[in-house]
Amino acid sequence: MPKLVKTKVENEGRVTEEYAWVEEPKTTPWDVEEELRVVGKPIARVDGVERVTGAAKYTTDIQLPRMVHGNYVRSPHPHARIVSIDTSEAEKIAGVRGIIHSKNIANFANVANIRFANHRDFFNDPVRFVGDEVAAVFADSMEIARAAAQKIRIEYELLPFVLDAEAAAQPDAPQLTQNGNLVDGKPSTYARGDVEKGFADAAVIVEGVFTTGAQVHSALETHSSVAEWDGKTMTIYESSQDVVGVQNRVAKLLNLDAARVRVIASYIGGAFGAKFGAGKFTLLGALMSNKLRRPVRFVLDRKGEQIAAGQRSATKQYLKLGAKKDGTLTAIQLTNYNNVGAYASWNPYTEGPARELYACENVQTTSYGVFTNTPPFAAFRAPGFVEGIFALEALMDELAAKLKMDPLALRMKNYSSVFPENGRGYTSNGLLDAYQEGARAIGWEEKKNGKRETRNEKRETRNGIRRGIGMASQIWYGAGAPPSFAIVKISTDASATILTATQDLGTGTKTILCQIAAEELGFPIERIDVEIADTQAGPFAGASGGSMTASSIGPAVREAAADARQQLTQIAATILKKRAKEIRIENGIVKTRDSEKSVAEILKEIDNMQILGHGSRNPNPSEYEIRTFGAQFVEVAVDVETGEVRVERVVASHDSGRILNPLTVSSQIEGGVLQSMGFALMEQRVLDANGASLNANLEGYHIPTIADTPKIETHMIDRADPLANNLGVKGVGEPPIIPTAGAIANAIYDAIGVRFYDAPITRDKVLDALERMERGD
Amino acid sequence: MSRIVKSDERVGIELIVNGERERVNVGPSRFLSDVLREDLGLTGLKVSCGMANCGACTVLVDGTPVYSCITLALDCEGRAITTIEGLSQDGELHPVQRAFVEYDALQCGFCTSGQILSMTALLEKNPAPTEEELRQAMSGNLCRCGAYVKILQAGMNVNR
Amino acid sequence: MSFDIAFPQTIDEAVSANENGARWFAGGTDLIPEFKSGFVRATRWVNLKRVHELRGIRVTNEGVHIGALATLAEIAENETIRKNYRALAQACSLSASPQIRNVGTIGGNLNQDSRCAYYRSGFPCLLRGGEKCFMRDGENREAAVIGYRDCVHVHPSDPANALVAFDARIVVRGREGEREISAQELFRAPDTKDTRINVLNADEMITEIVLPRVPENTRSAYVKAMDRAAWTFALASVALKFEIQNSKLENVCVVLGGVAPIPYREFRVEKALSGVEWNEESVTQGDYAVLGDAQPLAHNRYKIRLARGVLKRALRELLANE
Repeated sequence: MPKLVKTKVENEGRVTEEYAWVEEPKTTPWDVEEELRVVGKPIARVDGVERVTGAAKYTTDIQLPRMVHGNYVRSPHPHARIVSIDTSEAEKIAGVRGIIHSKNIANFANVANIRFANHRDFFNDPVRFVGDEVAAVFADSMEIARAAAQKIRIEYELLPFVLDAEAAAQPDAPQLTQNGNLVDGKPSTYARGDVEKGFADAAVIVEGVFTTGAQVHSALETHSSVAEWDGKTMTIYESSQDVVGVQNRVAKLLNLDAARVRVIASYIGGAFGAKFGAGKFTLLGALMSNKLRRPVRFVLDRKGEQIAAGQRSATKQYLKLGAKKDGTLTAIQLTNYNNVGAYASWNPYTEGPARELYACENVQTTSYGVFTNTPPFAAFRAPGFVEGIFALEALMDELAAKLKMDPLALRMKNYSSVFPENGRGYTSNGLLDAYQEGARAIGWEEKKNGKRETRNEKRETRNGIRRGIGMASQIWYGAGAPPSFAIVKISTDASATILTATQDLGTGTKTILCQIAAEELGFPIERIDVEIADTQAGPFAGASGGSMTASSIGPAVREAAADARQQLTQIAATILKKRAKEIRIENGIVKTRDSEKSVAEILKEIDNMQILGHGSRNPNPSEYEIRTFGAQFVEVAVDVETGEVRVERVVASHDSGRILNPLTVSSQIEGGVLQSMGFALMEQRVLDANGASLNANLEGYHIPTIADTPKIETHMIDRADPLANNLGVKGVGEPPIIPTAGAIANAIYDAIGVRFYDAPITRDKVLDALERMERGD
Repeated sequence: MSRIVKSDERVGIELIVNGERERVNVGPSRFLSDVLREDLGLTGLKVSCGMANCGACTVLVDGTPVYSCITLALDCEGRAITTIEGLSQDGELHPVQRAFVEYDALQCGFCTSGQILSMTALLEKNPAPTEEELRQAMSGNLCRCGAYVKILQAGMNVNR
Repeated sequence: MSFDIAFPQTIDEAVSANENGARWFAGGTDLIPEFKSGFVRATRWVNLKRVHELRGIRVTNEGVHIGALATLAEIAENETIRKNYRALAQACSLSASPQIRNVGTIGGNLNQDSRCAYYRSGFPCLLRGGEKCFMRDGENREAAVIGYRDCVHVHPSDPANALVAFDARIVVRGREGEREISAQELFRAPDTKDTRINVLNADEMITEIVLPRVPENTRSAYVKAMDRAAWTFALASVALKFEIQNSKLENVCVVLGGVAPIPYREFRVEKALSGVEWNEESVTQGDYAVLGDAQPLAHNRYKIRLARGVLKRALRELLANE
């Protein structure tokens, strides 16, 4: 019998206790040496054909008869009370079906059922940033909706505003919420040991103030939702990382049983952390569809996406490190301000790397998540860690220079074989392997040119170009956790289908699930189908985020496949008049000592039957910590005349446990590296002095192009972690974005001898710094 | 005297879309992307920015890659339009499509139809491009997932 | 908002179709995004695409005639231009993206609107008929450092800089008839009295660009510094052109882009480079006082150094080609 257990679930640094309904495991973990047939092979995406032929339907592709279109009216002010909203002129326009705003939303049933974190509302009054939603217009076409939006008269009473996080954290700052300007009302603090004593014991102390810019997800498919009410069931097509999350929220809003809300996210045009749960547009669309009995399409326009759909928050970090002469860290102290903008449900874990990466006895961190009148925060691929590593690993390089140590040697010196916060062991830790493999691949030793601290001086300028090399480390989560459930059904035609309500964000989830099922069933992968991202088709699976998809749902699929295989074996045994343990299934063939018969031939004997295997994700071991690790090494070319930084080569070496599919894994690595390179060199939201976005588009907000792409080499440690789960897999989605930016900054320092504390490191900063250096400032 | 189409006027025009003649009624401010997606149901192209800043709406007009989100439908009268739906013939993937699958030159897939069409147009003109030529020819198609490394690999190997 | 669209077949028809503040329309790469942003008030667009007189690139004894409808891609790929007016071909191929170059015309490129982020974000700035320039005291990293008046926007066209370097003539037609202006004269720094960014009247269109013949020994290059490797506007750029006479640089033209509301000619640097021996040592050693008269704003001093950098890069590139 399955049992209910409490288990620790970690997501992007937030740990919660949750119940999990778990069954007796049907599988034993594949060991490190396990010979696998399908898993671990570079198999092309199972939905590749749909994605290259235009057949893949995304939310924005859904067109339904009588569809109504939603469009937001946004605030032009950073902080303002809404005195009045006059929609009378707008409502006169033919084709306008409804307008919802803060003054009339209470008329819609059950809105009170929906709570948003940290004093957020459907429509906040006062509005808290330029771009805040003031009203939603629903009309027969987007043109009409836009025209109507123009006709709405809104009177504002302007309030004092604050854009800077550090300023907003001061007591006299304009207040954004009744609870002040801090997320959860206070900073998150952490301490171990005695940091003062640690600095007293240090032979060398380095300090730095770092800032990082607001990075906008800029997914090519904007946030979008199509709601269709048929009188009984609400169907929501949503570009979402979390179909069940959307389902629960919409059910609550409409007072429906969850089963009466069907959420579908077949294809998602990029998410990167910003598409969890139901958006306000989703809920408003559902409300309107329910009211109008028409399908409602609510798709953010590009401007809305860039302004209001989330960002990696800008940070300011005061970081201080102390070390003994031999490099042993004696103290790490960090105070950071995360500018989470107008709304945030949590404070990103910028202090994570300072707490977790190195073996240091004395650590103290204070992290302020600060509300300001700027665009809101949303999780963005390894939230906090990209920013935290950028600062920590830069300062580690400075420390190495002061200590006259090799930066890599300094990191290895402070390597922690146990989790530094509690001394617990890891299920696996490939960080040292990643250091060594990365260093070997990039040629770290050969490229050192003697002592590290003087290395940059020996860099030759050729035709205005100086080259440098740098590295940074990565630690992150990605353990995965229950609850996650899957069904594997086998039909009499010997095909198998995986059912589970997980999502494939473009990471290749469907492909690895097929590989896992094929492996466990002993079927050729061509005979495996997969239905995901539809709450009506598959059982519960968690959100796709936190690098947790493969490690959460993968093990459940293996369990389900094992259950199905056991049943199939039993059937085959009966038909073949053998004992079950005499039977093996390989590549779709049922083998015994003296016979071979295809699964199809066996199942032909029995009409109209179906094997249903079910599986669930078992809890993680409580006595270990589970982390992913890695290191990246970067070569850059800096043009000292034009300030151009070209990343020429990146070697990414990561330990994410067993590699299920090296092809899709390397794609994840490359994508993470490129987004991090964008963060390091070109991406930044620009606001004017009144908080209005100056680059809420893809013209002024620069994401890397193919012409910016460096050579990226993926070197996975690829060692199964059988203590972690039955696949031995850890997550890989977020790890690659974490170290690149820090490694780039370190490589720039190596090239030109200038340390940059502010990301992105754009040409103006490079040229200004070179000028200051020439002047001898 | 110039012919003038009034703002509220709808003109019947013929487009040759993926080799087939299609008749559509359009006004002056109707864009090719909307005609293809909404009138003809060809949703393979995506409108991501609508401002000629991303490339997701790329289609071929007489073999040349253009951003359909800023192309007036009226300007396409009689022109041959190729969308992603028209690339594969008789159920066989086009070699560029095949290379994209084989080399995993896509992640979320939202930019993919534009990427494939840009590459197809390049390879028509230049069957064996250098990597640098590929980078230049493909630089008008953003990919936020960062499939660029694989796109380059696919491009270098389509005709190999 | 919507618009009527006129389809003239001749220049004359086009000119007469342009009434009541109509807008010229060709590639649409600038006008359509502006329209979609709600910034285009014109209720008539005059579509020039069917005016055949405006097409094509012709080589004559006089030089090269580029029709206003020639796309940036056509110019970048034209053999004569690649050979004799290399900086222009490079400027075209470094503009925007392949798809935009495939439809964007040279006429439209020269007559394109400002890309100032404040202007494009809808701020009621000088260019939109407002009182002040927001960029001057705001986020002015991309702003002009020289040659500006009341508005600090920079002219976004890459080819314009090369056209100035080659002393191209711009043929313009309007209700008053035809006139010819030099490429340099086309652009102007907007001020409170006149916020136009070029000297074209609303009824005037560019019909042709004439590149005068260049001597055999001409060298030219265009180098553009951007925030990423492709598809952005110049932070600074240079169109460099000179002749080699007795292995010395003569008739040097240095035109900077991205630093001023106009293609900015650096006469002093031209002078400093004139007569210099055409070899690596002499050319790259010189510390040319590029933008010596610049008046940078709070965040764009770097452009001075950057302009010097792109000039050096242009010289290096040409040396490497020898």
